[in-house]
Amino acid sequence: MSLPQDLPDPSPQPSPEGAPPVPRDVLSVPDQGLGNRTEGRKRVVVIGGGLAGLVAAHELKREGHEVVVLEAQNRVGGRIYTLRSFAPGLYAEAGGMRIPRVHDLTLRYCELFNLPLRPFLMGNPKGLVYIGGERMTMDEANADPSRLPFALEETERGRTADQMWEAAIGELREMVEREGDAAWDHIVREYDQYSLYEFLRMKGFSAGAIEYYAVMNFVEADMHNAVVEILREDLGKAYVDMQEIAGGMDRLPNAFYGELEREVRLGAEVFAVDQDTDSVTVHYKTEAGRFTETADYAVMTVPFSVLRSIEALTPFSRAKQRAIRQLNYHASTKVLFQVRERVWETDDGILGGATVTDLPIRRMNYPTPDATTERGMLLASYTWGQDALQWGAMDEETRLEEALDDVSRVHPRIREVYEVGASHAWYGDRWARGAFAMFAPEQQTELQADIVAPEGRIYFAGEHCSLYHAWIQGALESGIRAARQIHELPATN
Amino acid sequence: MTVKPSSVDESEISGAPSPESTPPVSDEVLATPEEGLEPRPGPQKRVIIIGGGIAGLVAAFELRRQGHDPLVLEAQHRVGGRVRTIRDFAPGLYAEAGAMRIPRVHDLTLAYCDLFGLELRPFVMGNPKTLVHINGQRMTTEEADAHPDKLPFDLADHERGKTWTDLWNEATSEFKQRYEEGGAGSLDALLHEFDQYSIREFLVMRGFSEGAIELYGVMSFRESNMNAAVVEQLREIVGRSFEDMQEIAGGMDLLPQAFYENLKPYVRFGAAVTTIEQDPDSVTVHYKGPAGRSSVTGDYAICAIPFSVLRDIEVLGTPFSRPKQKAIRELNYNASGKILFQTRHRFWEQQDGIIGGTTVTDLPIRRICYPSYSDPSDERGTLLASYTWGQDALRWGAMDAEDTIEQALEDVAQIHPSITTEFEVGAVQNWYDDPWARGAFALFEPEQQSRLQESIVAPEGRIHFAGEHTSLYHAWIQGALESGIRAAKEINEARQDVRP
Repeated sequence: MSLPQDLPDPSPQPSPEGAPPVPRDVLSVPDQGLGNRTEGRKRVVVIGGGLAGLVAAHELKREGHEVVVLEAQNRVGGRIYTLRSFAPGLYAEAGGMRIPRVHDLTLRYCELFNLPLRPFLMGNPKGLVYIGGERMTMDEANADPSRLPFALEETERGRTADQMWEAAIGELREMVEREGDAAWDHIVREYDQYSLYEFLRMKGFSAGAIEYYAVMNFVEADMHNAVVEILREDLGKAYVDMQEIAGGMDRLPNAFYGELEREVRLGAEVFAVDQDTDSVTVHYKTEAGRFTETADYAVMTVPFSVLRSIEALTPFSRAKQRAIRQLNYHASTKVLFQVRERVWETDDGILGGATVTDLPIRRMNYPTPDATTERGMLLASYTWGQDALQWGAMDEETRLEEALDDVSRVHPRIREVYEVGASHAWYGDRWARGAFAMFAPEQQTELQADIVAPEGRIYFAGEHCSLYHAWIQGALESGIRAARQIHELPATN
Repeated sequence: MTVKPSSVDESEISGAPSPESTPPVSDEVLATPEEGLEPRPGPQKRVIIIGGGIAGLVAAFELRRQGHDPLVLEAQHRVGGRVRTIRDFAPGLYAEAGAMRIPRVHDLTLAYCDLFGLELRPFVMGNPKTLVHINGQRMTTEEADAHPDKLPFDLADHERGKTWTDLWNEATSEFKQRYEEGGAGSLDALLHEFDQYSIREFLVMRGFSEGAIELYGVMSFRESNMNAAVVEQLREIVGRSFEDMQEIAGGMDLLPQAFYENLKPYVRFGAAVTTIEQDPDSVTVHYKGPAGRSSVTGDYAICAIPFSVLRDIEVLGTPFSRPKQKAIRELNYNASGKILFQTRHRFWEQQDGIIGGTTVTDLPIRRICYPSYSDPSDERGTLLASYTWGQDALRWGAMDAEDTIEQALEDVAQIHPSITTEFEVGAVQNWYDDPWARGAFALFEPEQQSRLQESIVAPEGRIHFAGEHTSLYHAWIQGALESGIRAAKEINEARQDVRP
């Protein structure tokens, strides 16, 4: 959200670069491991083979511990999910799709596994704005905001939504620049009680300006989530220089898997956990029957929404139970099109970036141009919150048909070039039950400590256990934290 | 401070938004079931009604009675919308996947039941014998009310010894008092004052500790809805509903079916509307059915589908106004999920003496509702094994029916171990996953009432709007009826020679 001519950020999801940066001793883990200890070998069962579970298993194994990863699905990666049922060589991201340059820990692991990165284009002045049936470029919309049909007050006219937002958070931005991490305590104390909507009202936004900001930033269905989630990312200067993994984001979980093939058990659905003073027992089922795994410790990396229906035979603390029940999960849905000609490039000269619209699809993201093929993959719709739930209510055929209707209003030739489509609604995914954690007002203050705290021999990881909600970095950071907590414990007798 | 145990369930089971306190339905509207709309001279009007839920049905019924020519386009193979009785159980058994009760104060709803000769019987709300199962501890509602300290919530000193209803009553006493002093005329101003607050904010303002907020959230089944607008809750306080809830003997779907009996030639099933087009003189509605695409033209249309579904219907010709478009995009829909079990015996009656009422738990199922009617002719019964809202409901919705039933069985077994041997078959309804509902009911977020309500209701040219979301009786049959009559009346009274 830096430059006015930039596209509105296609990712105002929570992304707390403004959260204290990952500490040096965590950042060194990809290269140097957790550090030698002599406390002895521990047996650790890791529940969930998403990024958090994989990194925890990887780092524990590197230190000589014995690990087993129980993954319910037939793939690793969790909410990193690259779809490959397209023409040979084509793929599309149903989940995590980009890495901010400031996510140093994520980039370190990409480097460790030699994964090639390339830019993920965010701002593109040639991207489109299609609102109230009017079509213009982002450049045009920013040059003359009055072309957009929002009922602004006199004082708001002529300013872009980004400019108004920057003015609203300018003081906080200065504070973070001046005081660094210390500013965050203040910001959370001061603003954690407010929703994004309330924050904008406090800053004097008119109803029209709130609508303008919300539509342009894809957050119209998120207005009652905690504003601190948005502040964290905007003040943290993320989105400057976003990257993607060439060849697909799933190359990262697959690289971890390459190191852990023998430790990972696929198709293993955990339904109960138990612990006593000496051990943890995890009950799981496969299509072939019911099994148990006993270990010294467990790392629980599944989302709280999924954990909610795993039975804790020795109950978790009341505070943890409350966090599991209450932590708010956000919805997200993606609809993806394979086309035989990238009409947005040929017709409109759009090379990457995004289009914003008030149609149900809300936004399109264009792929990085590929000179080797005329085909391409369009992220035809990427929605959050209630928008995403409404897409989730349709079957896939209807989703594709409705998305085609919408896209064809922006790109009339889409029907000619469309070949096949796919979609993923994360709230409808039983192993995710939500796209990512997103605090409701006051949840950071009231729940965060309980979210992260271990319960006896069970440690917790996953993006929801970090302050990098929704980001790979959050999965990695929390996975390393849990691995380190276990690694540094005295040896079990 | 003690509270009569029987009072406990009465204000909350229903905790869905339930604005009985909205100004009561006017005498004129209330007379509609018996007398019909006020006759107006003039030509017959052709009215295309989108959606065969209660709102669409009542509009068609009342327009028909005035000699107009309605046509109801219904995408599904049944009428009733979110009034849905599941009859896929042992012969004679049924269970409600949607609306299941009618407050006595919902006079308009009762008047239509009366008109169609439907038999009502009590729907039991408060029952001291039902259970509270929290943190693995099981007690009766009576015990929990008598000894609130038995519940494991971390209350502040001044809150100890009080039930959650005591706390809620204290928190809302000022509101109640101001309403009583100001009378019905003061309600708008009062609601306007509180419209900016979420339930959570309201409780924080009233000095609730975090433990008391948790207690309130769990016991009222609203832990997932704490960020919804508190006015949805406040409206029901002044309405004094839930004092005498009713159900339709034989199933709630008897009401939409009774309308249908009177409208058979005027309903087209399997007709999924894709596009609405209007010009100054007419409205054309395009739809697709199993046999292809079709369109019908009328003088007016009534859009009686949820905004969440309307969002995907294309509007050609004159587009909807910007405020309407905004309302369609932004109006918040809540999720709801129901899991229903058929059992060999109504063992909760035999073992626990529970006839009707609700058990509350912090398990994922959140609540169990027992059938109010103890049928002497059948030992079997259907149990509402789980009824959830918001995020709780969405989490259930992510599972397929088989896993849902299995998980719900595990939860119920912790409270009623007999379920394991008594269970026969189950059924599941997740309203947010229903493509023709896309949400259970409208539930305002803070300030949505002030900012959206007018635009929600306003007609757009020749298109009028009905459905619970266009009333202030969100989630209730009464809202569907009241808004359907309003839309029918608007059209009945519209002058054909005047372009809207």
